[in-house]
Amino acid sequence: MERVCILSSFRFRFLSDEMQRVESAIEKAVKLRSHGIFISETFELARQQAKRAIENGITPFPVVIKDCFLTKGIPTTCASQMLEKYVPPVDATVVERIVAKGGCIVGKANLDEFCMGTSSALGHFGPVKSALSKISEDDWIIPGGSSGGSAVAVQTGIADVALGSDTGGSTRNPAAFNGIFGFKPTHGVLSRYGLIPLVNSLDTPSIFARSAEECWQFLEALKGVDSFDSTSIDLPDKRAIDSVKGLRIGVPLEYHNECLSEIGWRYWNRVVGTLKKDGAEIKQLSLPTTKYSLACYSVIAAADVASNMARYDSVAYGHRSSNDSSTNEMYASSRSESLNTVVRRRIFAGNYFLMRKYRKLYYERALKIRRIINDELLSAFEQVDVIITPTASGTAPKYSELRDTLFSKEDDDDYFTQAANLAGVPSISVPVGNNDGLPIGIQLMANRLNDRTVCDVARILSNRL
Amino acid sequence: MILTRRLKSASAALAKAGRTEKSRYKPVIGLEVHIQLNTATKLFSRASTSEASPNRRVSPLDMATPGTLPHLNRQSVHRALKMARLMRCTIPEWSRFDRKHYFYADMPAGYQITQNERPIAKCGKFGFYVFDEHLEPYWKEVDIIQLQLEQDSGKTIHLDPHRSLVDYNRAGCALVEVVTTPCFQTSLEAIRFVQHLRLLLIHHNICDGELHKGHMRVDANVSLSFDDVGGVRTEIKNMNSIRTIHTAINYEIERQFEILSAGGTVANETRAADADGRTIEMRDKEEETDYRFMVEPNLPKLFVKKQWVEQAALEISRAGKAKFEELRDSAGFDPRSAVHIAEDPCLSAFIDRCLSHEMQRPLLNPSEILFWMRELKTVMQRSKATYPPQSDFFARQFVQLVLFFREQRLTRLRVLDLLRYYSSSEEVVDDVTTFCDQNQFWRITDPEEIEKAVRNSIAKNSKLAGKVKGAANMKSFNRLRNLIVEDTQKCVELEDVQKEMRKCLGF
Repeated sequence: MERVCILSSFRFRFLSDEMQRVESAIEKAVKLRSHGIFISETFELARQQAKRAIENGITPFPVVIKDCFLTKGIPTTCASQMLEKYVPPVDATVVERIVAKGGCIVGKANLDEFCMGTSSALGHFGPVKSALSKISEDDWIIPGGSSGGSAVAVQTGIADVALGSDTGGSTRNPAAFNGIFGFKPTHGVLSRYGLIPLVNSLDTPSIFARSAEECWQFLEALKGVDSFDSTSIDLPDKRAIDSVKGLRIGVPLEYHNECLSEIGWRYWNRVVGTLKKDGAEIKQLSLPTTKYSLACYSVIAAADVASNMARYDSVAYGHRSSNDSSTNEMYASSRSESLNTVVRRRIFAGNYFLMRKYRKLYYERALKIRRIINDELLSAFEQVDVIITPTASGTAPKYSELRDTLFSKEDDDDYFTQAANLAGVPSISVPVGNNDGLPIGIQLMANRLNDRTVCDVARILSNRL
Repeated sequence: MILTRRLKSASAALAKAGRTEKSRYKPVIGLEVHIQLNTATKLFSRASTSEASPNRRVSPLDMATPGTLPHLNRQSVHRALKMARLMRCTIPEWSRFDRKHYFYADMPAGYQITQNERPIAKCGKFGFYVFDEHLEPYWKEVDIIQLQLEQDSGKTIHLDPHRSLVDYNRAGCALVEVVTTPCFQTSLEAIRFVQHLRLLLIHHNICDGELHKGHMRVDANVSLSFDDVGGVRTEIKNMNSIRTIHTAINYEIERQFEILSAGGTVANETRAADADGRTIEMRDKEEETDYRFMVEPNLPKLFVKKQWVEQAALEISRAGKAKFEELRDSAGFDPRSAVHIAEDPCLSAFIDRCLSHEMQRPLLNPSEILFWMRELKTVMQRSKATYPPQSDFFARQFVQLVLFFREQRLTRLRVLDLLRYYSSSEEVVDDVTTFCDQNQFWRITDPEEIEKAVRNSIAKNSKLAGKVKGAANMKSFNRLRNLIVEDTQKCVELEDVQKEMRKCLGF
């Protein structure tokens, strides 16, 4: 311990300010190892990238990448034993772009296995533990999920910005639980090339930062049509917003449900009140189909998972079982051994929903409901400019609470964030206060391609509070 | 050999069962033809499609490494639209890609990206001639259900029961699958369809058509209807030679007939064709694979622009008629010969040279050309040279010889000799006219000269002549005839010699 400190302070004296930023990030990362933030530490790479950035006249900054984004030459595991040793031959487009802007990758952040979950507790390499408060050796505060590692990295100051992914709330949820900003852009604005998919049509590369301005800044740095992603789109310029005066803000009734905690409700109310005071026009909305979003999401997600996971057959890459008495044995054993129960459960369910005899009953119906939820939300944006809801049901739970209810609480927290994915609209979680030291987040949504709007309103709101 | 015997004994059994019985069973055949497009890169990745040693043409997407996304190849769409034009299909405003799920080592993603529900083209028609050696050619139009763009799979090589190797070079190459209605009634119709389709695709630069390389693979759905009531069908998968398609479909028809006529039921299953053209069980279709189709979420709807359709149509019309169509429709060859010639580049080249060397009216007619090509093939049997010779010079002499024969200026035997001479000569030689002038090879048609020559020969071979006179012996007659032909340097036509001989010998 002593020796390490001496060495790093030695380094400090000979480093420029810019390199120092990266070195502090590395130092912090080492200090916080017990929180399980990283699956892979890439300190040397960060230093090389910093040097190169400086040579090119760009200011380097530390960045953390969720371990579901491909990084060339660096293991990308999705917190699964299946990809424990997988080293990609290419970089994800967003990784390439952030490094080109000066990003120095300190490490690959820990997550829920294959991005499935809102606790970041069930990954193969161990859980992510919130750094906001310490309970005991076997219990901790849940950092949210699935992008828990990225959130904690930004909250603790290891990184200025972190990349996460958001399929049903996986960036906004941990942002709320950690008191930082979590921004999910319009689906398609950030390239998904190199993002190992969960649900292709819902997955969105997303941004963690400590301010709304930075969220927008990094979006601008990373956006742009990517020829490698056939679904990537342009983000046309939109006028900036300076004040909420006259802004129409929608409050959907259905988000006040049984799961919402007292504290969650109070903050939601308070924030709406603040906006009203500042001249925003508050409108009550009804989004009746929201109550089906959980069921709808479950079916669609499971189907996509079953499909996307079909490639893990251990033939060309990935964990291969020693039980290879036949090809089918090899497939079954390799998959059963190295994919966790959450993943396997979804694969079974997904295949079931897609079977010829059940397709109409489940999958096709879920698609129709998704269409309705989508249309409902989009037509709401004809009445309002921004919709405001809680991000999660309350503050972050303890690990012991989740474990004792068999992780069913995870579904409750998904409720608030899913619709934004089903409709592909931009959405941001804004830290608005805390209760007993645990942060609360509020979610803002706007119409598709109005990413600027949510960031601007988030900025105004945050400055106000 | 075993196969033919088996078929023969089956047929004999049928004959015993009564002819009426078999005719109540009618074969019903539908085809799915997988055509490998000759694009430079694959359907959804930019990996090259050129030949290489195993696993040298594989991009991360082609081996389904996680996080990769498909990107549609424009050239594939262009070729598919050309095919749609050729097959008179409707092209819907948009089409879409689907995932078809099944586990197999050569399908790395665990699903194939294909077009199941909304293909790029539908409702087409394709016409072609059905011909055979003793069959009067007839025109057949088949209905095309759809054309779908899809990924090819890799190749699996089974070393032994415990080890297999996978080569991903082919994985992800662009295919168009042509799906027909079950409108074929014989295996002959099926292969003629494939042969015509192949020649057209080669001509229009859509597919290279090398069957041994797997550029076209055919699945056949075969069933027998009884008194026009449909039967259970089986699928024969992955046939990649004309011979296999023909033999396997016939085998399957016979196999089903034997089962049904003995009172059994045909199992709805997938079968493979073995090297001898038998069909063998592959996997049980009873437990039919549920492909769990799902829309491919990483590819937007493919809206077909009007310019693309027009561009495809323009290229088709610019390319003009395929060789077999030209031979059949312009030069007047019968449908069977037209296809046979078009399928062989050496034959086509030779015919081209002959048809371009029209030295005088009237033109050589197809039956003449075919007749003398058969003769040429026979005389070249023992020659080391390839049939047909590829030089311009030879083609000119060939045409000249045929004309001289038609004009009765050379005898048949002399022409055969000259064909042998010109097809085997390696050094530069004189043309036909010069050569014949120099050697006095011209046919003798003057009756007096013929009589003189024949009498001289008979006189020379009096003993033999005596045998012929006395016993009217055919063997001796022919021997004497052949001697006379030699004596006259093959300048007297065989018929003339024989006529004169009969006159001289008095019968």
